[in-house]
Amino acid sequence: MLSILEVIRNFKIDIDDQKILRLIGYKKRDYEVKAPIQGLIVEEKERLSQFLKPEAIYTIIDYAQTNRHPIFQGAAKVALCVCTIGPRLEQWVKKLMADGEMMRSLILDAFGSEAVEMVAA
Amino acid sequence: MERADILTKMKKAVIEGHKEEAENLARQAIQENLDLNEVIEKGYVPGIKKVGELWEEGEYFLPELITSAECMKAAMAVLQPVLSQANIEMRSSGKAVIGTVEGDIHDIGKNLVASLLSANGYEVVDLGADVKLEKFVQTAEAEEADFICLSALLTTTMVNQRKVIEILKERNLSGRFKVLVGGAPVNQRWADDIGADGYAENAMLAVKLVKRVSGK
Repeated sequence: MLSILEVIRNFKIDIDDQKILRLIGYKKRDYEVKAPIQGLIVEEKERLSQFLKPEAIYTIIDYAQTNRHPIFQGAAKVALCVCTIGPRLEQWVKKLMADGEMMRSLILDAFGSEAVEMVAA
Repeated sequence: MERADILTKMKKAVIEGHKEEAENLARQAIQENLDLNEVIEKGYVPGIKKVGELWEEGEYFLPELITSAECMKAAMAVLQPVLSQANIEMRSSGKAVIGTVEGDIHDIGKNLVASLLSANGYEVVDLGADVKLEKFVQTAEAEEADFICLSALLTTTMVNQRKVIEILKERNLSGRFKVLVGGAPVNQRWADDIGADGYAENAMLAVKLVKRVSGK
């Protein structure tokens, strides 16, 4: 029997800059980020929403409906979920990289990683 | 502005990651008919060297390395056409052919290495991602490269690093190029197993590795 797939689209994506700093390579907290880099982070954060189309689909099924993989052992129900922020951000990251805008590209890529984590959470 | 002042400002622009300033100073050097090789070697190169030192001391992180490399690239884009027009050759520390191996489309790490090598005075022939293995060898021969840098981000594609080394052996080209490997699943043990000349864990260590294996 097919299970019902639930779709979620209303996500509020609010990303903490500290997480972005960690993702782009800062290994110290409270590090004084140089003005040119901070400027890029602010700019990319401002335009982030235009690249995001967050969606998640999920379904909850009985253990008996699964392939009984050991990972599901002991579970009465199993939830399956797929999350996305859509393709636009990745396309734009690739374009920036191709244009030689490496730092900007890495920052936007980090925002994308964090955004999809927020959708999953 | 005095020549020494311009050189100092060039160094500072690279250290602090001010791309437009680095470009403008390059234009100014051209307008003032400065020796452009000296401008590069005494202005911009000391800047990128200092950035490398700050990274080693834990004062700088990857973003500073990248922005400084972008400053170098921007300045070189201004200087290069003038140097070419005057038939002045830019001094190169060596030539590297770089790419992500066939079957693997990941290129961010490879791009970082290419960018930092270029900023540190190496000529870089970037073949992109998902590169046919044969093409690494053909290009290295055609370009008379010193290094072949192979990136792989997947355990399923890292085996292609070994295959490139095997192709070199089949063609009796072993030893002609230093083969360097990198990527998330790669480590020193793998590099030793496949007979690579070196492995680097990250982009800045790749630059150090290239300097080390070339004796510079």
